[in-house]
Amino acid sequence: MVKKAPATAPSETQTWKEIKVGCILLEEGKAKPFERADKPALVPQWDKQMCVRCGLCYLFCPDAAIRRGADGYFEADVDYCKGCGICHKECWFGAISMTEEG
Amino acid sequence: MDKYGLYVPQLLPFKEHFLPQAHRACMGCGVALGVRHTYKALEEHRGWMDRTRWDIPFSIPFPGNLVRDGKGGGDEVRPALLSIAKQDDSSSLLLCFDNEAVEGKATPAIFKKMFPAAAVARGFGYVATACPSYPFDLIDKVMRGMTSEGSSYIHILSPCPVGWDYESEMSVTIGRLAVESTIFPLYEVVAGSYRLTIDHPGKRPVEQYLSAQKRFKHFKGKEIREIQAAVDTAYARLRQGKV
Repeated sequence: MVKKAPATAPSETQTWKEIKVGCILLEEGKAKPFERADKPALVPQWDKQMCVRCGLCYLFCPDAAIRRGADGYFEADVDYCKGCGICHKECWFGAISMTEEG
Repeated sequence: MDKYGLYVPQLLPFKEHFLPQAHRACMGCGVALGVRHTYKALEEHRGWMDRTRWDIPFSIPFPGNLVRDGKGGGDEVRPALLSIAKQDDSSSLLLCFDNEAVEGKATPAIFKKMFPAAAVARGFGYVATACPSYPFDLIDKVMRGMTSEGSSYIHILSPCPVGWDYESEMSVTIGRLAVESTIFPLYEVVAGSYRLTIDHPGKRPVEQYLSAQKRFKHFKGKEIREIQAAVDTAYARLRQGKV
């Protein structure tokens, strides 16, 4: 266990004794706090009322995970989408929202 | 907007050579976006594709006259690579995907101009800078580099969400800010004469580009003013066609 620095001490006066040790696990078998697997990935969802099928999302997808469907609307390949959100940011019409997967 | 039937992104071929299962880049990777558009540009030159050598941090199934420039140690390695590319083959295309990730130091983009200038000095026939935020410009330059006489060098600024420390959805916006603040101007050099491909009359202040990334958070007012002055000087010279 790391001794907590007193709350009144300003950060400038901290010595090496008060600064927390980095990059190591302090307690044995306590990797639970670092788990990220339970956080859901975000995937884009198209609002077909606002989408004009311009293809900007397709143009800027770094993973080539956006495909054009048979009806001309675009859809994400959820298996390969990493949820970066570039399509959501670049869509001019605000038709793409990032929602939780599943 | 329904009355328009065709939009500009749909002019690109929809066939993908850069498959999503083929690489393990981080989310929002600028290099992956640049490589994807390079593939689209090279689609018409299918015959050259099997003579390509790639060496970038993620694996690509590319059947393997491009010369690679890997990551890291760019300052030392890149001039040597330029020489190799020149000696190796009289007509090769050198693509440099620059995510400014030299180990241990973050080189500000203002000093980036040296590498295209070095390529010009070594007698490359076609030298250009590009950014994946401007995909059609990038595709056009790769195609021109492929078809022009002699060796070609293209310097591609690739934003990196991990190294530059910004949210991954900002990747394209950051590249656009770099170009619009003229820290990374897009130009091409044909037979030694410089020409700006995108000239912004109302350019943005450098501060917008710097403050969008946490790697520059230690830059305060004095440093930002110095960078702004250096960028303005460099851009004014570039506009007159000088290095």
